[in-house]
Amino acid sequence: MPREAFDKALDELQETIEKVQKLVEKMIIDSVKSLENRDMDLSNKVIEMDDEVDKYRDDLEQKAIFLIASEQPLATDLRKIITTLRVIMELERMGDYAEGIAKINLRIGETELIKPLIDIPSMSKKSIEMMRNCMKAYKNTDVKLAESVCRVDDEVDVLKDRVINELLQIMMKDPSSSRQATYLIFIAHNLERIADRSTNIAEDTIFLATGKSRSID
Amino acid sequence: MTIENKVNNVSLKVKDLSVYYGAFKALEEISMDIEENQVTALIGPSGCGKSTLLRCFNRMNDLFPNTKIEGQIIYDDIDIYSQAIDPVLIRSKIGMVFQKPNPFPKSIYDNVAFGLKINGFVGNYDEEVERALIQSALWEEVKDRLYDNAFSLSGGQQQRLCMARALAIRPDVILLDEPTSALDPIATVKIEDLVNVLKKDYTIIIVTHNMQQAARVSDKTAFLLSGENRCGKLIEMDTTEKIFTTPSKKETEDYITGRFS
Repeated sequence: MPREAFDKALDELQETIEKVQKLVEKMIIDSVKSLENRDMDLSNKVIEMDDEVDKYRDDLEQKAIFLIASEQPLATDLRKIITTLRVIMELERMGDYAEGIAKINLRIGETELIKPLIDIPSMSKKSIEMMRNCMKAYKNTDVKLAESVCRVDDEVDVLKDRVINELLQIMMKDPSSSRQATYLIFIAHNLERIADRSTNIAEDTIFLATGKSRSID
Repeated sequence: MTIENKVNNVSLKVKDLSVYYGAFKALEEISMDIEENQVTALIGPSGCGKSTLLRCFNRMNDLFPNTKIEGQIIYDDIDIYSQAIDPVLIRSKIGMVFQKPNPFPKSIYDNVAFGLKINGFVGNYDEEVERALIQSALWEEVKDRLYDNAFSLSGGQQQRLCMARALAIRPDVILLDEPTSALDPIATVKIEDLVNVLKKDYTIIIVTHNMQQAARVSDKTAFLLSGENRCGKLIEMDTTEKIFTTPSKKETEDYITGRFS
């Protein structure tokens, strides 16, 4: 098969994406865990991991740009590279949201939480499930799976609304809880955005398969 | 830029065209429309018949012995292969520029005026030579040395001189057979820019091995491929954007992405 070196370079881009996916997944899990366990050390570790993700992103971008310049890819090859660039950007932003959760946890500090965490861990679980499935769809260029991933996004949105309503009620009852309640709303917002980014990856997968940019409702 | 399937007037209509060199069938039942004021690129691996097809458009294949043509090429409502048609007249309407610049061993001026002379042009030669050299974007570089030998020009300038020579006799269609394959990147860009300008007034068909060039300069792209019997067929023809982003046929995708074995 001709273009072996090019195909190898494309595989290497894919490998980087998979490494970043694992890192970001760990960041999301650990950021919520650090919140649940009031674990400041773990929050700091999550923040450090973001630098690693950024390095992978920079490295992949450089490689992808050089591949476009040197190999002048067309059709599916070109879409593969463009999609890689889009997906790494989505993953990197997901990492930023996880880092944000860790930073918020540091701000809350070692005080007790104003309520037991139920919906926030559920949101985290669903977001990770979405991320895994959309990355599987992307890896296998599976349009059907990509489309189905996005349905879970609605469930995450419902959970977010529930968290906000509950926290608003707590704030109304006890205004002194406002500071922490606002922080927890930020966290719910970050998790909801992580799920949205998975939807974007699902859309990127459809672009990769068909060449058409389509937004999934 | 969006993918448009704009319908333009047809300049040349190819109907079930087959070409034989003796017993060898070089092209089989090609049908396609070449649209007016558009650039059509013919791509495909060596030996797929794209240059043969290009030469059919101005009956240059007539110059090869034992060539047989089946089917039709309709230009201006007439079949250019019908017996009543004078191939020289066809070639004055459908001009050609070749892979290697091939100026005559004459002055720059005489090269451009040559076609006018053999077509019996009576009029202002200076004006026509200047017009053709301006159209081929060479005028500024040669206006003070029109009587120098054409061989004193660089390769890229010689190729634009050949374009001027073709343009001098006011053709409708220009056929370009790998016009930049012998040129450096700077001269190549000048020819490509020229093609972009000329398509306002002319219909252009270009054969090229350079995929990026086809993607840059053409509006429509036709992909030809020869099978086991070495006979060339049209695999797919579509807007250039479609061919180079989401071609319909696997063979096209394999060829343009270099995965052709």
